[in-house]
Amino acid sequence: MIELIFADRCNGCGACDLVCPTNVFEVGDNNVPYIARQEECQTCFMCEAHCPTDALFVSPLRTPQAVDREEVLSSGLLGNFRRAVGFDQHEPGSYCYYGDYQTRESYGPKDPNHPDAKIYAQLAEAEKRALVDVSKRLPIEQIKEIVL
Amino acid sequence: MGAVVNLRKQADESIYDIDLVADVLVVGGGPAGCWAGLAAARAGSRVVLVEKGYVGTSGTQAPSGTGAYYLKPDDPIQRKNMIEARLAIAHGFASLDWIEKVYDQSFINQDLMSRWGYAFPKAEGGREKFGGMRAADAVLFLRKQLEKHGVTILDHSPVLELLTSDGVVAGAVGTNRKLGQTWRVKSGAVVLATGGTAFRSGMAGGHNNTGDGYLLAVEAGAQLSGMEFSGQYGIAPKGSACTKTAVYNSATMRDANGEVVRRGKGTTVAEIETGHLFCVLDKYDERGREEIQRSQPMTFQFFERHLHIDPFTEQYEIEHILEGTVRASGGIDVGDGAATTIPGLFAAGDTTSREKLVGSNQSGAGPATAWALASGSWAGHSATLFAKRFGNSIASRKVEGAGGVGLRPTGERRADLEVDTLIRSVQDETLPVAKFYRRNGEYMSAALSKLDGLWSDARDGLAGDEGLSGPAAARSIVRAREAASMIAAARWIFASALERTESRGLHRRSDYPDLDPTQHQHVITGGLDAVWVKRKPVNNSYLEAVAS
Repeated sequence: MIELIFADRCNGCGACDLVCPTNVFEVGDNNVPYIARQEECQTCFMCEAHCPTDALFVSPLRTPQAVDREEVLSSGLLGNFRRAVGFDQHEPGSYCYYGDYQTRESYGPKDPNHPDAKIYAQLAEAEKRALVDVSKRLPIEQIKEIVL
Repeated sequence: MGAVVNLRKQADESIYDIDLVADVLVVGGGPAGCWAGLAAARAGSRVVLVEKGYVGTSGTQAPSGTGAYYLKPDDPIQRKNMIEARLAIAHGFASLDWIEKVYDQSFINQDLMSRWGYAFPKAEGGREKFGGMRAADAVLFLRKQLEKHGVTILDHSPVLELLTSDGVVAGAVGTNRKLGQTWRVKSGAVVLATGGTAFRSGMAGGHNNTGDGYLLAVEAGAQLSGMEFSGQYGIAPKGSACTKTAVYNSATMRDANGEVVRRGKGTTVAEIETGHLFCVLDKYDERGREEIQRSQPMTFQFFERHLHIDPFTEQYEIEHILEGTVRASGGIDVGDGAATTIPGLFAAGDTTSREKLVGSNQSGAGPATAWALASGSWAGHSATLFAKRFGNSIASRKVEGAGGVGLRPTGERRADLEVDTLIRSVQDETLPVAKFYRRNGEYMSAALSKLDGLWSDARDGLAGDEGLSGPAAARSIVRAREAASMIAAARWIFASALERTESRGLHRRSDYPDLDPTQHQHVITGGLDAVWVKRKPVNNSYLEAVAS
């Protein structure tokens, strides 16, 4: 469940409030959201994934728990879900693998000791990937029925 | 911000903050709803898609990420293996040609996603490897495609009731729970893609899945199939919301007495009988550990953020929590083209019965995701064909609201009918693994009669709080309808489960522990004040093939 909002990290963009599927947040002073309905939270981490400043902390438990702000801040865990799904590298829901495939030279953290380096390593093969132009693709054969 | 409309009034009055006309209205914005919207738009429909939460983050797929089964057009061995993957545990309900059709369509959809730019991983040899619908990003990607296809999306806009016109489904009415606005969409056809229900067990992504589609469909006259196939529990670290189960294939699990328990039925029985279940992920090598942590970011949050142990070497407690029809196979009865038994109403994804695909067993996640893609496309396409007959008359059709319990109580609103209390009463019967996993007739009869009582109370006096205004009023009405949906879903489950006096797949009876070959029929259910059940023969090409 969502437990903490770090107002000093929040840039007031409203993304968490927009994307929260269960309407947990309300927007307060300076456009900083607050947790208005924690009991509606479904622990889906989507607010964290969409928070550009890593200003939210979702506990993995499905019931409320006491969470120590300072401990969370010093843990380095803030934003690890966003980084794991790659939303620090590209606009959420845009072309997917980690960054702009046309312009980027590499993706993921440059530092091999970065806590998320191993997550990005999985996607190394994507760097070599070139998108096939739709118009140059061969038609799908052997499909019995095309309803799309 | 508009005033909240009293929805007990005639639904055809033009009193809505947002009043739209569409060829196809899609209810629900998970993978199935997105594909329904895309297919309808590509077939030339004007499409409105309404979603209780937000299209892209809502539903059970978005936070989890899933694989999606598919068939390679040119690989006979892969095709055979995939089609037969879950046939043995389907207990005679799955149909070979249906499985093939679904997974072929899944390939087509994934091929389209790839053409649109969704980056599937590449396999050896440089070929794209379909199947990976990544967490957080696959449904959002589909949202972008909906936008490109000109689909009108209403986020945070739960449906309150369907509209009908002379017995034909003709749209829906709902509210926006962030703004407190009301909306109406009159449409030539409606696709329900509202997901299954886990009765708010706490599984990640399941909170909005209150079985709304079942109630909407039955209110319009449709029927459900296989609701007894609902006893699906997922494994989660104790207290966690995450029921992703890939890790347990590489684990050693022990019961409260320290006895090793095998994956499958054994874990549930062990938890019920000994009270506790423990786990250590000791079967990963170093490379496997790295891979699983990369591919399952949600799973490992529990250890990083809460338990602070190394799950590969240290034992931790796990438990079963309900995934219900989200991951089982019961739901709205649909035939070819994802059509329900009611004209104008189509349904797709987890809210439908997946018995023809996976039989009496679990559908998650590979088959269910493939089914969401395929049935979504079929529903969108069929709905477009259906809507065409109305031409320009959609807007002028006389419509009426089909919604009842929770929306239009027969008497005065009863303030003592507290939504949270009603939901807890339903959960008391549907969540506990000790009761609901392996059921007996006595418990189910008692549960059903208690639920009938709740339904009767709700029919008489459950409604949103009229003393509220704005978003609070909208939330209050939505919550009342959610409670009604959950009561209704539980009644159809227990009525179906009482009817099936045997154990088969996800329907386990302690009083009828064996499979009874004479009960090889579908159990169909429906009805509101009086719930009914009946049997329907299985139309099954697989059995016919075996017989010949």
